[in-house]
Amino acid sequence: MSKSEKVTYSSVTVPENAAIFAQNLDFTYNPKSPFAKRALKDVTVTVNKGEFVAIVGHTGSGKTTFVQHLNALIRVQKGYLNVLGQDISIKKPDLKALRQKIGMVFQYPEYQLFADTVLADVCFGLKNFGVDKDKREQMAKDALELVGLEFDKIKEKSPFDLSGGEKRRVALAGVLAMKPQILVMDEPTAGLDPRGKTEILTLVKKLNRENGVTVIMVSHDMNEVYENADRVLVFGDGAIVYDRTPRELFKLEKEIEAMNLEVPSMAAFCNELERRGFVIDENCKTVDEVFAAVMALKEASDV
Amino acid sequence: MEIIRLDNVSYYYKAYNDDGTVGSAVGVEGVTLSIEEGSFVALVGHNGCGKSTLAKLMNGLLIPKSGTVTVNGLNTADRDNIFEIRKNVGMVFQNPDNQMVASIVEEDVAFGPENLGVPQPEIVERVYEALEQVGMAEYAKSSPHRLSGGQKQRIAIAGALAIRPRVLVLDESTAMLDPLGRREVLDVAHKLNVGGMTVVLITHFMEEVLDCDSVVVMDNGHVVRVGTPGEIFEDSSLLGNVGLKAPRTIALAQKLADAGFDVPRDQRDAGKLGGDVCQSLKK
Repeated sequence: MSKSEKVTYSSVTVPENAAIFAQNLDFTYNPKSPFAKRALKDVTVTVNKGEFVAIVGHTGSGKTTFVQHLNALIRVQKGYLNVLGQDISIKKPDLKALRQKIGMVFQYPEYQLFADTVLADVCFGLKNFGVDKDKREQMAKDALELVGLEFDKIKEKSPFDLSGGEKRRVALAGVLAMKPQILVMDEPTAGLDPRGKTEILTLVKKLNRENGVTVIMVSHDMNEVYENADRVLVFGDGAIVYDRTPRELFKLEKEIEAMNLEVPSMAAFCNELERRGFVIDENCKTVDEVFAAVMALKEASDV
Repeated sequence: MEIIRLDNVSYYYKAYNDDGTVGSAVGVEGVTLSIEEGSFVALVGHNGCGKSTLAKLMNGLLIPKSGTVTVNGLNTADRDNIFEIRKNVGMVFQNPDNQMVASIVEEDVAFGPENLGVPQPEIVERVYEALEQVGMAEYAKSSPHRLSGGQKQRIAIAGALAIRPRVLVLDESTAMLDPLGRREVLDVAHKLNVGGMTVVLITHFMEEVLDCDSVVVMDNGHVVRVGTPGEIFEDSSLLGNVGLKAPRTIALAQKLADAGFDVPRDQRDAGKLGGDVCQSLKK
């Protein structure tokens, strides 16, 4: 890319309700070298405030590169990116302000726990952002309680003595303590047992529904995506291939399977019913909801 | 014929009490279990229930504090047996990146037989046979760090196979993989099982349990139930108690069958279940 190609975005209009707005975002790893790899190709997308958006796609599809742009872990090479009104495609964005607004939870966040006590670990981010000591403890308490841990019982424990699910919740509390408006999570339930998965997803959904936090969740578990997200972005070869509601997306069974993704069980079930002329309400996504919808169909046909 | 036998086995970890004194935490307690040669056994239960402890007892990585573990008739507590036992039981763990010991795939796979003192020409033969079995022969000269997670785990399995074990223990070997990688690893495990290998699969994915011959359910260090996948998934109170759930399609099939629909209770294909339900609705 020569310098003259660089487009300026002084005239970009960011949609009013946008939490994240990306326009023609393009990224190449190791540019101008034999190992150059174009990981994002002309990505344009808007995520609205308060949305729960899932990002799916097989390994190497560009999803991690995209989410790492959001809090400027990867700097914009080409294109425009705006997060909560802040233009971060400029040369020197205010990173501190940005990272207070957008919390990032990486894969296996419990590997990043390091402090002697749970309290110190949760306070670490707050300390770096210059929050006073007294206020820090209160904010850490709020965050730990939010993730369902009893503050007085856990604050002096070593994070390494906790169970896998607890460790992950402590790591999450460290991010939530900053009260981010956007929460970006890369496979938050990977490696957890079924109970741990349910705990984390219930918590994230609560943050989204009750506290209005905008959630962006990268996941490989299509059942989990289906049941929780308002909208799904499918990445393939660096581009967004589909941007639909879960119900609409997973009607494309052949296309989904061709991308090496799975069709969620309840979607496959509802698709088959629809093909045979029975319509299930698109809000019915869990086993219980689908079961109730089938019972309603049965009652209607019995009359 | 039984290949692994655990008789009233207990194992405790050292743990520190709040006052700083040394106490103990239960790994497994009073476990009696028999694993038949050639079977495909799943070991399930929530985090900390003792699954991995049990796996490590199966090849002498841990020695029971009480009770006995025998592998092919050899007691793991007898130091003289340990090499023979580890030749019989290969293990693959969760994180593919933690199990690579060499910078070239074939050298990594050769690590086991080299340590057993296998003569060089036979090592080469074993390495290629193992890589062939996991479908990775074309990557023999590659560098492991350039491979995907599923490919790395298949290399780890090849490393275990090069020892020519009779039992393969997969301790959450699919947990960190994407769906494609998981499928690759499971396909290899099932193919090996068809070839006569005994497989012990530790997993949190209930969908993976469906294809096993038997399921061992653990809770708090105890084996609480052994049964076929069908039997286990029918027992909803057991699943609830140990924090597990039947796969979604089976859970729906059970509910529909209970409500009078003419559908198989163990239907695992969501599309077929949908078709059956439509038949029922049209009648």
